[in-house]
Amino acid sequence: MNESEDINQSLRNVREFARNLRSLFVGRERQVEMMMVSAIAQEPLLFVGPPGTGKSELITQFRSLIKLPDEEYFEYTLTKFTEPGEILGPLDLNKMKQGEFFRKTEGKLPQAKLAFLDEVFKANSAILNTLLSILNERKFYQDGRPVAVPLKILFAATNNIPVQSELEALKDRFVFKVKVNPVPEELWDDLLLKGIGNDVSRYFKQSRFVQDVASLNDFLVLYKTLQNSFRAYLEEGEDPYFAQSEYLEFKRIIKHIKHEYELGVSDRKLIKIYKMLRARALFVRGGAVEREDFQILTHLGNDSEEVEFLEKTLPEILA
Amino acid sequence: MILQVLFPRQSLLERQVLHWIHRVPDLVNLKAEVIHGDPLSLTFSKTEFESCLGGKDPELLPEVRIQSVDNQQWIPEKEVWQFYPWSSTPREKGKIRVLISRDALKEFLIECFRLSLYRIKYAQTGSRVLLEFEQCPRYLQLLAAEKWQAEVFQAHSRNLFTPVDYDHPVAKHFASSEFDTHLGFQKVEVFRNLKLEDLLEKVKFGSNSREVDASLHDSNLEVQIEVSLQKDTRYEKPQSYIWFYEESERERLESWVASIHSQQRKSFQILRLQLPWKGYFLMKKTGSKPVSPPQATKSFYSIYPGEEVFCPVGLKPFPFLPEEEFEKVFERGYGQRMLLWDEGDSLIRLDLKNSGFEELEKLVNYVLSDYSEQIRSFQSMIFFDDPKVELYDWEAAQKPSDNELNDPVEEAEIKFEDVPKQEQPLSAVLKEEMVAQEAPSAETTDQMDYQAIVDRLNELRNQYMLERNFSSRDFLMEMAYLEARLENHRESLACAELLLFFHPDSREELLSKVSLFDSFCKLRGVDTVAIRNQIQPDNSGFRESDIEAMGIFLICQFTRLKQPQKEFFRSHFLRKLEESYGRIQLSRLVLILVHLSKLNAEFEFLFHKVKDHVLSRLFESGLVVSVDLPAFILDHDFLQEADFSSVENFYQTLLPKVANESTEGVKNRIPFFLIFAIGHAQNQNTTAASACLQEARRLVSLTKDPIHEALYEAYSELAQSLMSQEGSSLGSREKPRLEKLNELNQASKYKVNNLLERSTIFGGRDLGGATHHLYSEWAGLGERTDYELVQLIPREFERVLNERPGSKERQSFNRKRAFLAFLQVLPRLGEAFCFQIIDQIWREFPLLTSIEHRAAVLGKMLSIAYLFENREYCQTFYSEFLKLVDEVESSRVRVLNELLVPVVDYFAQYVDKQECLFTLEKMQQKLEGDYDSGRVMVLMARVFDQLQESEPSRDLVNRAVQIYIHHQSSDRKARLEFFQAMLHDLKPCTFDLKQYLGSLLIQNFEKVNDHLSMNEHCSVSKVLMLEFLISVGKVDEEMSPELKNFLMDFEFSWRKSFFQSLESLTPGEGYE
Repeated sequence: MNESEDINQSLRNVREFARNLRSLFVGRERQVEMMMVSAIAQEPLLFVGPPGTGKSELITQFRSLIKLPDEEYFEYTLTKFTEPGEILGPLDLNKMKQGEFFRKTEGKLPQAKLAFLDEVFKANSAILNTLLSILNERKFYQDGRPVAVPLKILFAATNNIPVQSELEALKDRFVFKVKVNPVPEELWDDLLLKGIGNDVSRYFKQSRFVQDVASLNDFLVLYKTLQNSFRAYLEEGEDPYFAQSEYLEFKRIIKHIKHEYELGVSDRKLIKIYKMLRARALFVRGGAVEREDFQILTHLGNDSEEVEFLEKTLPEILA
Repeated sequence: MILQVLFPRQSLLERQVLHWIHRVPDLVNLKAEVIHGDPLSLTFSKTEFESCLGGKDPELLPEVRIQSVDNQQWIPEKEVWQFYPWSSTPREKGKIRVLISRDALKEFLIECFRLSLYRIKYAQTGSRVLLEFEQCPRYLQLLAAEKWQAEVFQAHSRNLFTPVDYDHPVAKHFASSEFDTHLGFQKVEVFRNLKLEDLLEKVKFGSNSREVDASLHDSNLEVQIEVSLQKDTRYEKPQSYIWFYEESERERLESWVASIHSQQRKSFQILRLQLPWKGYFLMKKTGSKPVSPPQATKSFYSIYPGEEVFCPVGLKPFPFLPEEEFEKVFERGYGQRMLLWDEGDSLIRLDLKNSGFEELEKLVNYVLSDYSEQIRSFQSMIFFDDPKVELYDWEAAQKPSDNELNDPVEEAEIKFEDVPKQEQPLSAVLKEEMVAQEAPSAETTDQMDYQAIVDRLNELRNQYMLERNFSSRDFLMEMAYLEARLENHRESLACAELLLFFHPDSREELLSKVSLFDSFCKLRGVDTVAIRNQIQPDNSGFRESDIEAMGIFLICQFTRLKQPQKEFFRSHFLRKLEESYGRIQLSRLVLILVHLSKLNAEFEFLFHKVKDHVLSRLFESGLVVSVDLPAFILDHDFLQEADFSSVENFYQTLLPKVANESTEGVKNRIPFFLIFAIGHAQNQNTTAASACLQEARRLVSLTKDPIHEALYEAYSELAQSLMSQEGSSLGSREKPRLEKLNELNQASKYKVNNLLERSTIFGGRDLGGATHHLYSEWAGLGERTDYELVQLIPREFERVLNERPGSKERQSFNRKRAFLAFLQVLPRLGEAFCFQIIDQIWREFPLLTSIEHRAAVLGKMLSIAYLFENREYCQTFYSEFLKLVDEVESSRVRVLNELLVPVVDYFAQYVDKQECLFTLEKMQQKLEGDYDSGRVMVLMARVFDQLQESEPSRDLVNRAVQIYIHHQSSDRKARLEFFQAMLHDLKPCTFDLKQYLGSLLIQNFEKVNDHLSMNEHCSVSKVLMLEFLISVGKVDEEMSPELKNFLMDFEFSWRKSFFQSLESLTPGEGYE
């Protein structure tokens, strides 16, 4: 297979994967789409919602449907008492005796390619800085020396986004924060059917789908495609996948968000938004950004209120 | 270039110079020349001034004027701004002005409407249009500038506009201008005599049915915008109100209707249509929270909350017009129901008249097949509900079709009747629509008439809205006539009936204008001649559905009735009417009754029965709200608008018919005097109001009925406050403080609350929450979410403990009530939380003064301990249980009942058998021969039964039945309750024990039947008993003659009076 066939195959796999994942849930189409987009763009994604809305379930089902060895997946629920060792691995005592400060990272976050951190904002400051550098720079310090981490996809969940300033940096790393609301009453029939179905198949260890429809590699292929297309952008000075009219509209909407909602859009954020838009266009139609892709901008809120407010009001502009 | 700065005063000049020097030290070296004159001026060379001040001091004093002079020649003052750079400073939101070319205006306005911006002012300036927005989102500003190259300005100060978020050092100078000034990057524009006008007012939307254009009046400006339906991208999807099911889905819909509770059915209305789609529209009533209907082909939501304009879910009108504009565009009448949808590219509207929809519940026929089948369909209702509540609450099957009952079919089925009237109004509407839309210019005579009538109707409506006097004779007369001309028979009849009620003397004139009988027959699709022919003195076999038509005939032909016809109405008609009055619209029934009363009815008691029904219905809802009037009339409260004396007169015409003043009769009269008192109080007629109150007081004291005492208290309080101007309007009052209420038993409280709740005067259903609060502040606890409860219970617990009511007894009572309410919901909140609260209750437990209170709370706590299998608590509570059993005296057996009810099913399972037998033995010693003891016996029999001790259990059942048969007590209610409880409590027992009870009942059948036949309210108990007998197999081919009789009697009572007895719970009748 040549490269373009590879890309097309990966795209088909990822779409089929998304279809399977979607069909396990009721009213979670947007959330699943955002998971796919952020997995392709390799950007962390945060789910915000009250307990019992299936945030964790979305992610664990994602994991169960993807082809991935167990040691490459890491999942942890953080509390304020969680110690760095629980996330990063315990200290290597033998090396410590020799005066070296190494952690045994097998099966922990530094070695994971897909990770899920529940209650991520409950992390204490001991973990916070390590998390920041893993999230942003994809590196981790062993005995003072940076070591690259293989993390590709990170999902996190929280009940609400706290307002403490020490968490601002962590919040900013999650550019997109997707609200997960309870399923509306009119969909309860479906909800029960699917919820019980999932429960039963979990108990009997049955799978309703071909499980290994997509692998992490498919996402990596698409990420590479994305990066290649950016290279063309840099060389030609104009992005062939982002037409001028859409680009202007994009800037207008960002300016609108910044001014009307007084919402901070940092420089880093702006770049990531651009990347995510391109990733969505790739996922949805395998091509250029269209106005419809701007829907993901509704998830730009910084705190719980902004998230909710933007999701309610921005669609009017985007209509 | 020389710049000249002008100062009005010397002092100002000095101050400014000092200020500059302070800010910019270089100025000390500046060569400036002060020229004295009027005004004073300071002259600089441009370069000097710029190098020192340019861009550095935006805060030039507002009073200072700057002029520039070029080679001693003055240059235009407004160009000064060009010398200084703009600064970017974010500004507070303010008015926004957009100068846009006319060509781009249409597209721009579409964007504005899309973003729901309608408050736009405009003025024309040459080839461009100036638009002013109070608020304009940044997106639109950017779009205007970038896409259409418009100039966008933001208000800087009063008359000055500058580019958004930009400021200029000399802006304040321009701000002082008396004209509107736009200070732009390129030029300064001054608008003299700028008059801004409301853009929307100038926009006239055309409205032909399929598309709507918008065009500006101004001949120079023309914008056309088509209203269409577009994808709804809102985050929160609106709730569906109407669902459409195709004809082929009928079976699915029917099975759904059959599966839901009758109360839930009451939340829906249904309409059957042939066009545009063949099928059923199911509509949710406003304000109700019904179950979800089955998945529908199409569903619609209300575009404007509270208004009946619907649009398919997933679509939204575009542009989304404000409601007033929408009403104008679509010329929607008051209360008119309208559906919008799109077909291809065009927008289609469908008008659904109110009358088109039928109550879903009314279309459900309860059909009797064989007994077991019939009962099964009701058993969940009858058997498992609290029998006390059920009698008042259960209106599920009030309106069965007797035709169907007479003609049993195989199984219970639900029929959507193919009522012709459903189709008629719609086709008429569609026809009207089509005529109006397709040939607006065809000026045929009919067309003109039609238009004239519609116009006149609108005029009348407007007039009504101004005067609010619907009982005016001329108004009703004309409405009846015009609606009849439009073939809106339903509305026409409603107006005519009201007219006849309020102004009986207008009868002849009305009948000369409107043919009521024909209208009615057309509406119902019945043959006038066939009805006439049936009115014969010996005809008793006519159909019930013809009753109303005959009644209308009676009203219309009253003065011309022949003797045989009179005889018919006096006898057969009245008998049939007595069976079906519940299904006849109130205003119609009133009129029929008034006319019947003049014919000297043959069966006076039947007449009284119907009269009582009418009076109670009048009391409950008022005449006007029961009539099928055009909705705009019904917007207003009956009592505030009605001609009060008419109602009172009507009452007086019926009153003399009450020959002997029985207690029931007196009871029925009380509410009327109360309601009249309110009416008079509302009109500030103090004397009349007091007279009515006095009469009511007298009657209340005659009856000595606590329910009426409580009602009297509520109404007199309201009347007093109305007279003293405290309570400004009816229907919105707060709940009355009914001290009497606490003295009532639960059933009476329920009844009083029910009456107040249904009363128009006390605000109808809205008062639900408040009245619940009246008798039990804990009523809604179970409906709260777990999260709320976890927050609420500790808080409320604290509050209850801190309450200090007058007496210790009262305190104990309040606490018991609260504890029981908490215990009821606690198990679902998890074990830990549950026992945390139980610990607290246990601490307060010794402070419950009454043994009854302690028993009720302990029983519940023990049952929870068993539920969670918590040994420690089980032991503690059980030993307390034993203590209480010891304490109980024979006279207070009810305590044992309270103790036993919650735990009866756990006993055999958790308590050691010997221990259990011992305890039961101990209890048995306390029992006597009264109903309370009987109930305990039944519960104990259940425990023995679980312990597989058949002999003692049979013995106890036998004793209980003996108590039921032989106990001498005047308390009929207690006896009935005991009978129901006996059947209910033994339901979970072994088949053997139930069969034993069945055989006992059959042995004593005559006595049981005697008891149950005493009062028609006992029908529920009959059903209970029958079900019981069926379940234990006692009803088969070898039935005794008595039992057969019972069954026949049961069928009779079922058909004839069961539903009616539930319905006819008028204010005067009690449960007993």
